[in-house]
Amino acid sequence: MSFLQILLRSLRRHRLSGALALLSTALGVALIVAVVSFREQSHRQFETEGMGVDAILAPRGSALQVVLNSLYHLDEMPGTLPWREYERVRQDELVVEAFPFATGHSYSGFRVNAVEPRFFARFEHRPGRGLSFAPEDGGQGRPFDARGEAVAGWAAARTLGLTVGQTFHPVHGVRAGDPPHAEDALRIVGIMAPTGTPHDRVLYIPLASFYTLGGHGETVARMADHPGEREISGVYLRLRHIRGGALHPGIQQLKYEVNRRPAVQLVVPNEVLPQLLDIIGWADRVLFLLGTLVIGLGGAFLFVVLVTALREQRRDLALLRMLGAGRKTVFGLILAQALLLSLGSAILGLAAGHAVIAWGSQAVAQETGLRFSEGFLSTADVWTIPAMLVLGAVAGLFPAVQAYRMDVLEGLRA
Amino acid sequence: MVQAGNTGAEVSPIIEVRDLKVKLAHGTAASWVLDIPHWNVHPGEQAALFGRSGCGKSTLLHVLSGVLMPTSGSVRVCGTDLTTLDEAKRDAFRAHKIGYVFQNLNLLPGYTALENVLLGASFSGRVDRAKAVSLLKAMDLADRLNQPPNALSLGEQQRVAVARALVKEPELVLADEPTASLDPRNSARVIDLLQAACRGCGSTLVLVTHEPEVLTRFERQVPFRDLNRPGEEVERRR
Repeated sequence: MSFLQILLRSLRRHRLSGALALLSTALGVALIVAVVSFREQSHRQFETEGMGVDAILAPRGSALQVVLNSLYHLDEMPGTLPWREYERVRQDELVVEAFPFATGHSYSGFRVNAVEPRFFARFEHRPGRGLSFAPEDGGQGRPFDARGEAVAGWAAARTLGLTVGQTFHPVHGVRAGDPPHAEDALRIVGIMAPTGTPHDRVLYIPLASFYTLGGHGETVARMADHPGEREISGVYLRLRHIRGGALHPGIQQLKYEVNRRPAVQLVVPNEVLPQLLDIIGWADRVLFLLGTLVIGLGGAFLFVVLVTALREQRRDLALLRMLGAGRKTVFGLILAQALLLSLGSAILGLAAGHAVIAWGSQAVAQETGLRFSEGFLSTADVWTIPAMLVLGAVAGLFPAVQAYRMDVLEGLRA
Repeated sequence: MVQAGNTGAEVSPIIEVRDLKVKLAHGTAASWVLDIPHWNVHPGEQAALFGRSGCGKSTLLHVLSGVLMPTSGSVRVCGTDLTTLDEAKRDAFRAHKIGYVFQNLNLLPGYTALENVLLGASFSGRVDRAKAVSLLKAMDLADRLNQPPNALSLGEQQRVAVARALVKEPELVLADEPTASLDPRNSARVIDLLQAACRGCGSTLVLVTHEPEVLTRFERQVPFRDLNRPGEEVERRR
């Protein structure tokens, strides 16, 4: 009988309590693995990808509000800015692409964003990845090219059951109860392939149509054919990057120049998003704490299981000693049980955590547009096994020392 | 060094006890349990120590197996003075040289009969599955190899214990009242098998008993009261 065989026999003797300790600890591990992975993947997407937008030219106001509205289609823009600001910024040598947009409308809980047709040809939601309507990518139809047409993001179309050819009436405003433009029916001509970004949760209409929607009044309607008079919500900017992918350092100068002007500001999402992450970070901190508590309880349970098992095994260990097993062997036997159970917890927890990520990623993508991969290697993945082995060693040390110090003859009388 | 035992042969003793004294604590008191001036057992002998319960027979076996260190005196077993060894070396000594049969409840639950026997050699590094199987067959347990202890009768359990003690072919087998919980028929059978197996393996056997029927099966019978003369001294521990 090898040490491993003896170890497995010992574990089998208290398999029920051992399995419960293993499962409870694995639950905490799974929670932490999932939370950390979601957090790190979302941070990475927020911080490095920016959903294809390097900067936003926006009206003066809260930068966070600008990011939430223009990129995440939440909240509202702090105001509007004149078209000439768009014209001015697009001339800057640092600007590669500039896409004016107008927000403030919605449909059945989804935001409506007005953009130019050029947006679908030139916008990249990730570096090198444009918007697609190709069926092989999961899209349908085509981009709009006329007033009265519209395009639906993948998640919006799926949730609302929109198909190509259907019409809808945009709502003037983004709150429940805001009035619809009952006389303006826009026809869906295309459904965008999924991008895994919040762009999937938006209905896009032509910027020109935005101004002509009923109820906007003559002054606004005139803007459709006189771009120079338009008021827009903002401008998505793609800027020059330097080798290595970082933004061109000239952005600071551009920012300085734009921010000197009274009505506008240049918002860089990567600078603002950490604030957002700080705000929403409490949720994952709570979950992380909860996972840590569950693991701690699992560790305590493991300790109790080992101490109880030691009491049950006193005679067995004494017999092993009589057969020639040394103190170090019985010490190792108890400690190895703890380590094996904690290793099992770690492996089971990792598997369960990644199963949660796989299961939850679809729902999260649909709700937030953020894409998560169950194959992502997070800090938790790297540290789970070493950390759980430390926990196992801590839980197993005391019972192992007790086994080490046990008197053989007393053990035989147990 | 060269002594004549009751066999009359001039060979080095496998057990050589000199001025052995053991004092054990009982609560706050301590008492002398063993005081053996001189005792030898020679290789190949099968000796039965008999005496009333609680007179120190088992304690002597514990000393001979290296589990218990004497208070004073020398104990040479298999050519090794156990009093000079540290605990780890005594564990290794026991793993290699000693086979031990307990009174009862001495099989490990959760292990089959065969695995219990294999355990007997696990710490000596001499695990021999074929040998374990052949010993169990010799104990008439061929059809019980894969049974757990709780599926075996007491007699069968003791025969498994005998096989476990002998699987590593130890130089010395110590049996501590191995038949105490058996009926006379099973008792006789276990003793016969134990003696035969020890002869087969070339192991010396020292058996402790208080049963006259068991005693009669041994050529060398050692009355423990003649061997052991502990004083009546009882010390108060401070």
